[in-house]
Amino acid sequence: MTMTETAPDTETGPPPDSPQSPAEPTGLAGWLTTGDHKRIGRLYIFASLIFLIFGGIIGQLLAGERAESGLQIIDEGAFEQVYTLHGSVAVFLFLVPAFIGLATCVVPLQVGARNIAFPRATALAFWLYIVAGGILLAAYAADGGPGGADPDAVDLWLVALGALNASYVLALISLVTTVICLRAPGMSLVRTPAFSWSILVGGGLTLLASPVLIANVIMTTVDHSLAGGEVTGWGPAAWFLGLPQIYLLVIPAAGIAAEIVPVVARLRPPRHGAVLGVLAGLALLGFGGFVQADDARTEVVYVGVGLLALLPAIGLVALLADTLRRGSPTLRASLLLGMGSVLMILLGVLTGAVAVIEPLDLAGTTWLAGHVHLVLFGGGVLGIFAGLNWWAPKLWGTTLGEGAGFATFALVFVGGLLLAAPDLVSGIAEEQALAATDSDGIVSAMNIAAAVGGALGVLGVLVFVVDLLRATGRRRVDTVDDPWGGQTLEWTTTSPPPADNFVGPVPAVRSASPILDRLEDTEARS
Amino acid sequence: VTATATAPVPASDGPPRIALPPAPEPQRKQVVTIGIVLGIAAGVMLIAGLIGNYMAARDAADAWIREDSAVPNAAAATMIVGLIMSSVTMQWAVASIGNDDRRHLYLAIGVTLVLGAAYINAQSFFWTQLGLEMGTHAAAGPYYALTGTHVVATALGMVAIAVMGFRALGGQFSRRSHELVQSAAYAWHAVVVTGFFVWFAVYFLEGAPLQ
Repeated sequence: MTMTETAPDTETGPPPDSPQSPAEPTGLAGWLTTGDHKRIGRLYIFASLIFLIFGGIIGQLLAGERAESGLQIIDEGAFEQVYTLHGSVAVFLFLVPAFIGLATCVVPLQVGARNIAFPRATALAFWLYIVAGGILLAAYAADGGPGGADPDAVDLWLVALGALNASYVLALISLVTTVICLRAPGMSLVRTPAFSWSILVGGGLTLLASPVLIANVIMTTVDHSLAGGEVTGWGPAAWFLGLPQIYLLVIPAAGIAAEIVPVVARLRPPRHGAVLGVLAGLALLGFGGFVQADDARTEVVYVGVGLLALLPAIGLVALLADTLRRGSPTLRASLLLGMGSVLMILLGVLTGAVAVIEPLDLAGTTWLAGHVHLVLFGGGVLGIFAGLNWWAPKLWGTTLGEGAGFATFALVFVGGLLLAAPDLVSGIAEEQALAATDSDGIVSAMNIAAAVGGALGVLGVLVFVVDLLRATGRRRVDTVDDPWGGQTLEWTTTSPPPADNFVGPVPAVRSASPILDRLEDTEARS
Repeated sequence: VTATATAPVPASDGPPRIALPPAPEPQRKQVVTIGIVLGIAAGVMLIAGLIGNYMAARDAADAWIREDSAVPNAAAATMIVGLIMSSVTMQWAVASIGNDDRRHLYLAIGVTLVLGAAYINAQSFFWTQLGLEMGTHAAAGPYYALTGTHVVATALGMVAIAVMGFRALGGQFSRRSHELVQSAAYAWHAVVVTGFFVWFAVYFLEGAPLQ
């Protein structure tokens, strides 16, 4: 006769002495063949930060070119290519992969899963991203990209763009499935942590938007390679880098801020459901697959979405500010980075709402460049840095420097504002065209101011990356499991987590703050 | 139940109990199904994007691509009916493994593959019959992009079904465990449904009555 003692109701999973996952190869082979979501996520983050620095340098090259009227640094034929190279690298090689990488590391831990849903698919997505990223840069080097002179290299750029988006789809299927299927017992969708929720709604809708871009890429490739059609401007990717699609790309940044604020305020999230609601609202309004033709930008749906997006953006900032007001927050770099990110997103959405007012005639002006920089550079970069600062104990077993975090916030926040504001002024005052190289009067002064802002932003990025390298280069664990007093499941495991994420059973979940539940239970018993 | 650990655990009352470690975490069901459904959603958006591009190009063109062409409506209708039939045979395969009836599973998979191949054959036949050269019509590029992508999706679906067939031959799947076959069927149904819309947009919306 045998007798089985089931696990207590409050906990699930294998006991502490259960066999761990089979050991992975070490060294380079281990990194190349890994199926551990934490390693794949770190690879994503490392690669995307390299691309961020590269994209920033290209941006400064453009800013330097615009500081004086005419072309001094870049050849006339290459200006359009350098212009799109900056955007391609910033969005397709940095921003989206960086959020995917952070989510690949953190989401399984947050939802109490022992691995991501499809680890091999995630690994394939990462390597596809690397290969496609290399092809994209090679295409530009071979005189390709939009406006390129070599037709084969232009095709190469299109193929790379399609492959990059295919890699996003693959990675997001794995992430969204993880949130849907692998949540800990008791973790209903309403109890899902804000960051994981932002990946569910933002990633889920990007999963639907990226294939539309792939469809455009297929059509453009067929037309260009077989019928001699031209690829100019942003080609098939124009709508993906404009309003409202760019809101969708920074939903994870908003989720990161919503994750940090209640913990720093030392408060159970007072309106967790409302936060999830505004994140979902902004994500839904951020689906831009319908903005394909130029005349779509005068449609009532487009204008309505541009204006309506203000509601969830304001709602999110108000909810987070209310949480800070109710609690007793500690000033931390992650808080500044996170709140800076949502403020930048709010400013970006506000400028987007102005941009859709047709009588102002802002379409095609530098106003849109300012709007995009607020959302993607201000909101996106600050959001990523907030997430890396916050979850560094789980990613690398270390904490990043607070001083460096404050400096990063100051440089990127001020730099982002200074980068965007001059373009907004040039766009609304002088109707300066996007990617125009000629300037005079106020536009010249604004271009110089934007170049200074961009330089501050790049400096902020370098400060953060150097601090990250310093902290991770120590190669020893120098933090505790929960240095911030976290409330979600990832803070119940070690820093960094073991191979299968949790030492022992995963705690059951009764609310959005399971650690607080456990503390309250302990206090009640004592 | 197999006992793997037998450490006696003193109890406060009553005799000592034998404590076993908790059961391994149960494998979550539906993970593959949800992943496939998300993949299907992405695939549907891909085809929807291509149909949108095709319709926009066709709307901008002066003449419909099939004017003076030799693609009979009856042949196009037969093509899509055959594809729809393959959805039925695929579901037959799922029902067969649900009954542990492997003989019918193999038969159903075989028929599905034949119908899929017939669809690809018919579509490629139309490409040659249309004689539509790139650059001669505004909708030519979108036409080939749309129908070509769908043929690739069909071929990928056939590969997935064939893999399921080989795995079944290898002894995998049973009445209780056939989530992969079910997921492959979902993917195939998506291929069929999107194929219907491709046919509707490209071959039916011409406006001419079926011959």
